[in-house]
Amino acid sequence: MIVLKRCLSTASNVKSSSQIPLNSIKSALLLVRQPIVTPDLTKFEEVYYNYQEELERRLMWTFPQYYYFKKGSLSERRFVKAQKGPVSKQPGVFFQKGIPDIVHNRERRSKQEIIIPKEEYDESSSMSDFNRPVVPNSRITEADKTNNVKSLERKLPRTLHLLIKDEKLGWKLPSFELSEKDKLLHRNAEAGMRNLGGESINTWTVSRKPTAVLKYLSNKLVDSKENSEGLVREFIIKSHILSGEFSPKDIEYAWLTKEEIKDKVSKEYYEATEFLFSRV
Amino acid sequence: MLATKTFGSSIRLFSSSVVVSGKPGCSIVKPVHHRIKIDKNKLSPRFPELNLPKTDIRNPAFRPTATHQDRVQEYYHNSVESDLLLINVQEGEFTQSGKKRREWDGSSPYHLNRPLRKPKGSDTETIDIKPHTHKNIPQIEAIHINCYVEQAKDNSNHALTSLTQLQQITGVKPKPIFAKTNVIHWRVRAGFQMGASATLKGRPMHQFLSTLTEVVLPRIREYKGISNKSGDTTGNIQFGLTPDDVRYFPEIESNQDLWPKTFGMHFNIVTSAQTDSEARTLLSAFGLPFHGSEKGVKPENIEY
Amino acid sequence: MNTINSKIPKFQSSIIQQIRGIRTKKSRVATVSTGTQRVITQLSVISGRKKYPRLLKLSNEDRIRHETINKAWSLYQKDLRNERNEQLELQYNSILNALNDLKQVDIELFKVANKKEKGKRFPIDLRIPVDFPANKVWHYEVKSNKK
Repeated sequence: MIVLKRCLSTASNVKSSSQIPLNSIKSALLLVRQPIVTPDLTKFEEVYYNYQEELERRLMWTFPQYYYFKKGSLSERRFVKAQKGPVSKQPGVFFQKGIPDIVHNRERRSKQEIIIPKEEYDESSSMSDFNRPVVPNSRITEADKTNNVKSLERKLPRTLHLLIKDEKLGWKLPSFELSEKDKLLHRNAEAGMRNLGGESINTWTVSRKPTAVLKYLSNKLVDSKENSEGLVREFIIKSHILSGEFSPKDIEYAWLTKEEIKDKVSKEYYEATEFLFSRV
Repeated sequence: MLATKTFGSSIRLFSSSVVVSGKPGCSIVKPVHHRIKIDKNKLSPRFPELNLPKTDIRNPAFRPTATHQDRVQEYYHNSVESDLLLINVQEGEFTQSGKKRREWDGSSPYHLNRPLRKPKGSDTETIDIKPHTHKNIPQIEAIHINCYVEQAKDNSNHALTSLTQLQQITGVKPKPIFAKTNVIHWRVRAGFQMGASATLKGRPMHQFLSTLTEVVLPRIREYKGISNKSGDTTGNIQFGLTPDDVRYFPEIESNQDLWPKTFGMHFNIVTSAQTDSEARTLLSAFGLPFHGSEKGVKPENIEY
Repeated sequence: MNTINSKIPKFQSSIIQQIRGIRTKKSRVATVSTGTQRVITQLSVISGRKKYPRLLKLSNEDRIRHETINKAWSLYQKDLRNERNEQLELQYNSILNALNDLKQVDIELFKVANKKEKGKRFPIDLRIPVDFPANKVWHYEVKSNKK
């Protein structure tokens, strides 16, 4: 009997809490484009890595050339020809930079410089494709030059976040009202985003959990710990865009980095959501 | 009197044989008696640099570590970490204690001083699972590579070649492994050199991991992925590569004529994840593929 | 040729004759098989013998310079780490806050959201960033769309 009573009491509890109307709950989507290239190095990082690499090269063992190039082979001859040999010790000669100390054709007092023989690139030859010199693509794209904030190809070393412009609330994360059909938060957010921006998009929802909640009281952002009547809640679901494009018809949108978001959104909104945006 | 004299001069106890031989029975370098084993070479004043930590530039063993940008590490910190936090965190979690050894009930006098009972339903103790917070987000800690060469029992050259192979594909100095016991059935004797092993950490580990996931695994024909059943229940994942798969490593592939024979190997990826399931989620972020059914997961729930 | 040889002491010239890195005397015929020779070469690759450079000898000033650089680097790394940890802590608190709020608002939604996600996998399309972009930076056509 007691058990039954307890059951009833919990059930009534649940009822009372779910009395909050469905239209006061919204799902928002934090759609992220991951960095495509490695982060830019700061000046300090650049010089530090350079210093450490030079130290490592200085302390490296001699390159065992005899292992990689068979004795008397063409590749060996080509390799040896490309190397700048060390200055060898000779009797009766004064060496300004100290007496050479050479073992296995390496000057032991400094780093060994290995020069990889480069072959002449000939476009007409049959092997040309294999020997083609590698020319890296630019890390700065067309979208960066024109500052096209709607492009997914901008700011390759940075994480981009999707923001849309709301008529009343200004720039914010896209949010969608819960419907009975797509009641689950993560499904609703994904479906809402597809309604808005078309079906040609491939995304990955990170988790079913919301990463944050934003609370509005009569269209004004309030503290996320606030718990009064008449609140409209936005539960933010995180998702990654993998391929495709977000191409809505008649709303303004932008792919922005953290700093750019700070300039676009209102101060209160940025303070409430700042930690969600990736630093890099 | 006579008896004692004979005892002292001709009959000798075992315990006194050291004294008679003229050698001290213990170390004469101070500290003489010590419970902790002391590397007495370090006590020598001849090479004080050797006693400095290896991170000190005066030590001859000094090697710089941060020689280049670590793109795998940066990817983990910039993208993966916060996603893993979101996946793992749960509301209302508490520490789930693992299976521990049990006390005897004391019904028998023989229970006194008896070693503790085995845990219920298990031979060994299992770890406690702590709540997931921002402080224990799983990450890859090390990769152990073990290359056991069966043919080395007949020709020890194979064991030596496996050392070089491991050095070539990882860039770190491997250690030889030896058979621990006689296995008559396999014709293996204790002390035979049977292959090579290496432990990767930090930058070499990240370099190796990216080579594996970007160059080697995609080129293996009909490679399905690491088995979802693999794992040691504490968050470490194991898998292996066959001798033919090893040929796809760029260091071996570009010097094919040096490698008439290659050797397969086993990998143990050590992560700080608390369960295997979390470890698999972590590894999938680095591009390691998984296949097969996972314990406790319905096939329709697995997201590939 | 003779003049050079006469300058080298007799016992040395009998063992090895070397003039500026070129061996003048024929080396002995190898007595080991090719297989063994290959293993010897392989072992010599991973051994440091004759490959060690000279030890570093830094002046006191240089050593202090080195240590200052390293100290600056470790402080920089510490700052980055603290910054990361702070952000993660904020995210953690925010997730818990959102879940608690969801629990009060709608228990059904909360139960789905708070379920343990076993078998979760990152998609294979998420790549570790590379130094330079590919020829095709972004794939606009969608291959597979589950939802």
